[in-house]
Amino acid sequence: MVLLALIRLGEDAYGVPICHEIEKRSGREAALGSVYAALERLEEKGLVTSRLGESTAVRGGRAKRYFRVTAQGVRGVRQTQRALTNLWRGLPELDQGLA
Amino acid sequence: MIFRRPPALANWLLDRLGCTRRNPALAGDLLEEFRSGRSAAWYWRQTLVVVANGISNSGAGLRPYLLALSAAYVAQFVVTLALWSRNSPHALHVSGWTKFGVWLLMQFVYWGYESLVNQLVVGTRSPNLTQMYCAVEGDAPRSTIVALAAYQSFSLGLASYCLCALIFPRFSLPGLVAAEMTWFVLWVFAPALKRPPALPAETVEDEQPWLAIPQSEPVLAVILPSGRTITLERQSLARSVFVAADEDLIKVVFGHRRSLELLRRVIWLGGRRSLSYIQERAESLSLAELAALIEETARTKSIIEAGYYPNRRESFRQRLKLWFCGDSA
Repeated sequence: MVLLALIRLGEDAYGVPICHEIEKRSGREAALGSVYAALERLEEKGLVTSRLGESTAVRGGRAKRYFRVTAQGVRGVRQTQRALTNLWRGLPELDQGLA
Repeated sequence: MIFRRPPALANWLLDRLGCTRRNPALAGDLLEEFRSGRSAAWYWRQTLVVVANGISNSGAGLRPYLLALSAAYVAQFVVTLALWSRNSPHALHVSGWTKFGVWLLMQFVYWGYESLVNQLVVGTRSPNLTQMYCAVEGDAPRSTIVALAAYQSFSLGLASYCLCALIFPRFSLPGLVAAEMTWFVLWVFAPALKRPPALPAETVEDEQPWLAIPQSEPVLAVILPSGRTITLERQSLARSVFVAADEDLIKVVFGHRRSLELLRRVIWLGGRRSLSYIQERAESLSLAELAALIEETARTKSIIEAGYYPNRRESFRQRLKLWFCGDSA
């Protein structure tokens, strides 16, 4: 979810918009702390990179950290999509509309 | 425009347990969201998540260290239990003052012995092993630090038991277990989890940092002992601080934990990177003048509190509100 939100946001992806995007698309409240924990893990795996941006007064002088998906991250997302599609395909309960 | 302040207690927790000192971007995001209209309850929820993540991360990083401490303490408990079952060492049957003397003597002996061991193993008498383990300071290998921590855990527990056995009459098994648990949590495990210091601040790529402070930013009001209020305007304050933004001044300012957020922010913005650029434009207060003003500001805490809450009870109520709810929207 975090990777998809990052791809959607493009260059302007830092904590707050990422959280908003996830909340908007999933309909659930996302905790900033959890989003950052996920982003740190993704960065360790090389799926995203980050850079420090500008600071504003409203942020208490703290800089924003912008995140971007790497090529490896995009490949990972595609792979996950394929895996999910394969799992999804041919489920009888879903075909008959029971679930 | 005066920015809302988030609950101070939540901020303190974030700083101490949530590792936001190591991740200022997260702290900034939380503040930005709060100031865009989120409630204090939202801030508290987010804080708890960040704190939970912070503790979990610290625990994961320190796992071998904590495991060694715990294993050594369990081994110590087995030895202690064996001693307890043999009623050894025997309690001293002497006066209370003599017992106090023994207690004091044992404290000194143990302290001296521990210091000697520490000095021999890691080269310092009172090391902060958590910091050393995190490779923040010192150059002893991690295996040595883990071994020393385990040894300290073992010896501390055993020495504490022996001291209690000498001083107090024989105590029950539940009493022994309760005391062991208390020692473990208070003296061994809790200090072991103590957060290592923050990493060096990251540099921000920003050529004109003070421009990030909006024109509507509140001015810094300072109440002098004479009752006169001095108002430092945004730009002159920023320039003043930037001119004098050397380490001494920053120490002076950060020494006053109650200094206004604006001042902290301005000083933060005036990092070393932009110093030369700002110096060209600067003409304002001297370092000594600015330090004196900061001193006064810290004493009066804030103009809002000084001006609106002269009543002590009201002031206390407001302070409690700031701790738990922050400023109202």
